[in-house]
Amino acid sequence: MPRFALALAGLVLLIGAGSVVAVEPNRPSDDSVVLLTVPASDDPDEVALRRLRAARDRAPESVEAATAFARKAIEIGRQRGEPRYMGYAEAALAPWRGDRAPVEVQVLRATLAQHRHAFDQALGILDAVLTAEPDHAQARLTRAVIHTVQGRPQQALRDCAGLLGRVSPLVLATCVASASRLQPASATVRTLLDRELSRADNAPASERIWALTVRAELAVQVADAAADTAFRMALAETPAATPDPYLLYAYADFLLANGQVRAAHALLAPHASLDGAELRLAIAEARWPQADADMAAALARRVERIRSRVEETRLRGEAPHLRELARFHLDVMANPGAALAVAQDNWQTQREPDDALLLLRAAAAVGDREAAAPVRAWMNATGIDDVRLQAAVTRLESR
Amino acid sequence: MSRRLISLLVLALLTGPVAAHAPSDSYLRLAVEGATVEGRWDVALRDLDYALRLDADGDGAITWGEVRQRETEITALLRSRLAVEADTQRCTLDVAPLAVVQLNDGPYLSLPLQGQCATVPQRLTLRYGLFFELDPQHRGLLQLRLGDQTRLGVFAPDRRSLDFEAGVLSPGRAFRQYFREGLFHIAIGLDHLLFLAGLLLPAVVWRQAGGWVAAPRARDALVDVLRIITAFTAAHALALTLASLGVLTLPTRLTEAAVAATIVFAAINNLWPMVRRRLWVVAFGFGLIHGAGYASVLTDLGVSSTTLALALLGFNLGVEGMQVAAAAVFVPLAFLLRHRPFYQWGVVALGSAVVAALGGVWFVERAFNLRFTFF
Repeated sequence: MPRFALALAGLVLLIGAGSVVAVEPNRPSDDSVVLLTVPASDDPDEVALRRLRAARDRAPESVEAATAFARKAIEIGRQRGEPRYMGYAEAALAPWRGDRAPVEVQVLRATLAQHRHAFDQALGILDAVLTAEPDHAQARLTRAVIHTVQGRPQQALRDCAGLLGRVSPLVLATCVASASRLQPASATVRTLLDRELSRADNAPASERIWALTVRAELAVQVADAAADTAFRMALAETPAATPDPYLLYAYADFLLANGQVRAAHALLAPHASLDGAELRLAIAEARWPQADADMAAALARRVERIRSRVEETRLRGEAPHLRELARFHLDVMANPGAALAVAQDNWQTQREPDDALLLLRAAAAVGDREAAAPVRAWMNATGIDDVRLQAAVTRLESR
Repeated sequence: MSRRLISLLVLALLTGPVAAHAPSDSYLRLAVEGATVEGRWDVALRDLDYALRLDADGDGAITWGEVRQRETEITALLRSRLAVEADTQRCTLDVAPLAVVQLNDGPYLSLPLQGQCATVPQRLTLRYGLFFELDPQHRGLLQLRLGDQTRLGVFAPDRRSLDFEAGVLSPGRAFRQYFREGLFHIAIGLDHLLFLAGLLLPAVVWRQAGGWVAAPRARDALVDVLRIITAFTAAHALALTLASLGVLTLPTRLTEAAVAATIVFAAINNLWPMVRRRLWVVAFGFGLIHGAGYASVLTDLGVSSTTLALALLGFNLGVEGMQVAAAAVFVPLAFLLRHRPFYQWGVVALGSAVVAALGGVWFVERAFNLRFTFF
């Protein structure tokens, strides 16, 4: 049997086996078997979180103790891409219910809702808080971000303006730049952001990472050759072992869009345990430039895992991340019909450039110009400048 | 408010699937068969670590040894967070030792469960309260097999108990299921088999006036045997039906003792014939007693009368079928050997003596509620 045929047989077996190995429970015979690696007890984040958890347990009535723990939990969960920490934060806030809850509790609750993509719920909370306390910076910033995510640049910019003098110039500039991504391109905004970045060497890392990420996204929209550099600069600010997930995905998407499949794969491979990384690795493997049995096998395994994750979300009675699911259908499964339906659902709640691009691409793949009409109307209304969107519209027209 | 005081959460505002792992879930699989509950509960090690801090030495690695040292505590926590109720009566729930299983999103501890309910549940209630106070996003994902249906459910902080109505057994399925039960009822019922042996042993050769008489024709022997078996089944069916419908209720201890007494009688009758010509009448009487003793098999079925009738029919046909099968194997063989002293003394006489002895022991145990431990 030639070696090629052997490899092929192995691949068929692997795909046939469903690739997820069903393991029966067993009792390890050796006490030294490591079941799970967790942050060591001297990990600074871990120490801080334990301290705050203990403080909260000692004073269950204390709003300060609860919110301090919740903030830390949200930060760590975000950085590690571990949704459980969001749940820990939510648990700490549980004693204060409804509108009578202290403002700090409500704002954190809105942050958690926004993180779960429960945008309407988050907006409801924030509207109430800002009516009572118009100067609450975190509430206003969070609302600005939600307006941006939902494609309402005017409202977002109004909230950014309300932050003047209450947040650092860097955060203000990033808020404005982020909202302006949905508007006609403005060199002034990019200059402002660059200037604040160059002045803010001592700003908290989280603020710099956000600013640099937005800077890179702006560059992508105007086909600025500096986009790649901007992404790398942003990545340099985050720990190499645990880069910020959002930034990592944005850079990988940029590489994939430019046909740099291998570079995208290499970027994501060390972080395959991240959900979003798994999807993008699958896209890279589906587009691998030459036939490669290893890539095909890895892809089969990933597809199985992604499917089971979607199924699990459905079992929990929750909505999956529609943007990601639409991309899975479009770029991994080559099923544009399914992708279009999901992308249209997604467009009801999220309207960032990426969401618009996805709907246009799916509509073009199906050849359904009608489906793209809402996006084009939105593009006209906002006046958004984005070379990727313009190219997608051109492709749609040429079908 | 000065800016120094505010440390803004900015990165948390970036949306997208920033989750690395699936959120916290546990997987509870349960199967309820009759009044027995069996299953397995898989709980993420990561979650148990947050609740109990399992990394004893703080080196960032949770080993099997660290888990094993806390096994009692882990098991106690899990047991206190799960309850199964059959018609508001709490079922027992025993656990086997913890095991480890690797699922898609990491290692889970797997707890095997076995439980017993007081009755076959009409309404099954499951109560679940794991981790909700630590992580309101935790969910318990349930897969329940109840009767012939599989149901799914999700436990959440605002849904800590789930109720399931036992589905209506379809008539066809009831018939099939109980036909099988009837077959097994005979095959694994030692007292039934012994009784049957007591009746069948002298079918081809019997004691008469201090000697052995062999049956002249095989066909006659077989017809005789069938008559005995059918009489037994018919009576068995009658008593079982009356008992299932609640028309006839006899104390269990009494009927079980009576069953043992019939076994003794049948065996002694082989050695010192009292009844010979009308053995089927005796079999009918015994069938009544046996049937009444097994009424519990079909009570609490909670089905329509049509279904119940079909279930009873299936059960009794199963009983008859297994008895006929046993006879079909035994009688031809016995017929061939019927003239040999080895068969006459070694099998019929000795066999009947053994059956009589066993029946006697059972009778004493059941009538006086004693337990012998020599077998």
